[in-house]
Amino acid sequence: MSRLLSTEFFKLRGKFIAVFIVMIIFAVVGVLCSMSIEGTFYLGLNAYATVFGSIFCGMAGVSISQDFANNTIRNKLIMGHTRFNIYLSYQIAFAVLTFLMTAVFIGAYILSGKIFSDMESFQADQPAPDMLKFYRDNFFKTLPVYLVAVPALTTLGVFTSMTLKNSLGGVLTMILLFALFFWSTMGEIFIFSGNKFLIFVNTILPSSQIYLMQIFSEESDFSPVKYILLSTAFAVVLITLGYAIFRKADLK
Amino acid sequence: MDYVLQTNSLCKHYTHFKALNGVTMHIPKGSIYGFVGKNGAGKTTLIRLICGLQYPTGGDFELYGVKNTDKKISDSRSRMGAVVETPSIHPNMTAEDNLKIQYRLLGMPSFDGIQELLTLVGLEHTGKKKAKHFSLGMKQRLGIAIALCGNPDFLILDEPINGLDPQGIIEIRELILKLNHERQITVLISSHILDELAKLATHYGFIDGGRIVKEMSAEELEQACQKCTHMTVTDTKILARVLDSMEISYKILDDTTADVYAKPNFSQLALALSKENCEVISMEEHDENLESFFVNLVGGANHE
Repeated sequence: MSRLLSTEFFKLRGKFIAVFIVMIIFAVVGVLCSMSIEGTFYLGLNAYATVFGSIFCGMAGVSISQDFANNTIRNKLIMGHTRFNIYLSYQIAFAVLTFLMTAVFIGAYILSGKIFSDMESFQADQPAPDMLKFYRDNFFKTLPVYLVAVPALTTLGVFTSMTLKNSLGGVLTMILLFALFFWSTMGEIFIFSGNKFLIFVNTILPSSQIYLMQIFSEESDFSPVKYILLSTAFAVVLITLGYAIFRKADLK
Repeated sequence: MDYVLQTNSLCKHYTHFKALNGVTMHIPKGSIYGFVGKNGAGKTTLIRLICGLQYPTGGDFELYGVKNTDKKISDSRSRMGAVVETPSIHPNMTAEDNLKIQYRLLGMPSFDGIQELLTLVGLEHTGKKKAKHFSLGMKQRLGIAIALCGNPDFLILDEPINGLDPQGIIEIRELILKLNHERQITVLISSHILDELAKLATHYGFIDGGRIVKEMSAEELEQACQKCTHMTVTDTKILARVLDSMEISYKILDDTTADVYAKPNFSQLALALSKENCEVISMEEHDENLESFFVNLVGGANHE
């Protein structure tokens, strides 16, 4: 497993160095933009988490699809690595790097916020004051949720590409992500509709969790622990299902 | 005899298609095993099963004496290298980086052997050129270099000379012979270019319709293939008389052509014919080569 992980990190080093730089730039630019409307600092992080969730999930899908398209995944099997280790190494590599990059972004965002903006300058006369007040009060509680939800989204990219086993895996991952985020935007409607099943499904999906944190208010049932557990459960189910399919799959 | 690989009634059945239907084959240690079969005969499927890319639906195989159902088969696989159909390379990386990836996967302590491998396959001067800009022959050689990482003692090459130009074919042939002779690597090589295979193989396995129809050594094949010289002369009656006097077997085809078996002293033959006013117009070595042997074995075009 360590050999597979070492190889994955080696292969991904270039991409993640680029993403690391982009993260820092986005964090600083995000904070500077949020200075124009007071209070949006707290919501800004959420918007970026949505974008990064998509980017990392898409990167996982595209990168693994390339391994199938170039047939380089064969090399791992031929030299005796087990399918379990191969699947898990992809997942761990992307989850760890996504976690680190999300942490880098959050750190850079907060640091930039301290330097360029007064994080405490929230004023109650801003639009939707209740939501912003709630968001500011719960800001630090939401951070662990991002740190789990964003890496958990990569399980979708790994699952899709490992199941499709061809170059279309990356494309389908992106399509599924758009579908998931579209579903997420329906979250507010689900809450209003009171349909418990839809609300439950919506809460399970890490993409929806990220979106839900945008529309929280004091009446919302926000529990970071619950969200983290559900994101973890989402990841475990997708990894188990993905491996079960990959374990028996015929490769070319 | 020690066998690197033995298969026992190996089957791979899909819903409506039997790709392998009870394949039993034996690859002796140190041999170059030519795996011959038509398109769709099951060559690549068998190679995929051995490499662990697919699972058999029946039968089993032993790699270095370890059964495919044994968990230790992974350890046995680490002793082999393979190029299945197309070379498995990272196109956006240099040849050296491709080998580094393979070294990492193998858990090699250092990258010391990489330059030696690149030299062995003739890619030592590729520098920073990315693999996607390589010619087909270079990609094939890089694929073989990747397969050779970790010093395997069994190499599987699936159609390694497909699409190569004559120079590329010669290079790959020489490389395979070098690996077999100098490193004692057992090679399983499947190819459609049968005459080319005949220049390499020490053993043959003929597969058709998902079954091995014959396994034989190169010596046995040579015996099975009758060599002859196709002669065109002015009068085959005189030729027949002269050959009879020299006790050489032959077959008269028409008034001017005949097939002469064995290898007579052609100077003496020409001289003897000349004395009887019979001219030799042309002589052409003609043998039942691997190709025609294979066609006869599997039934040729009618069999398709």
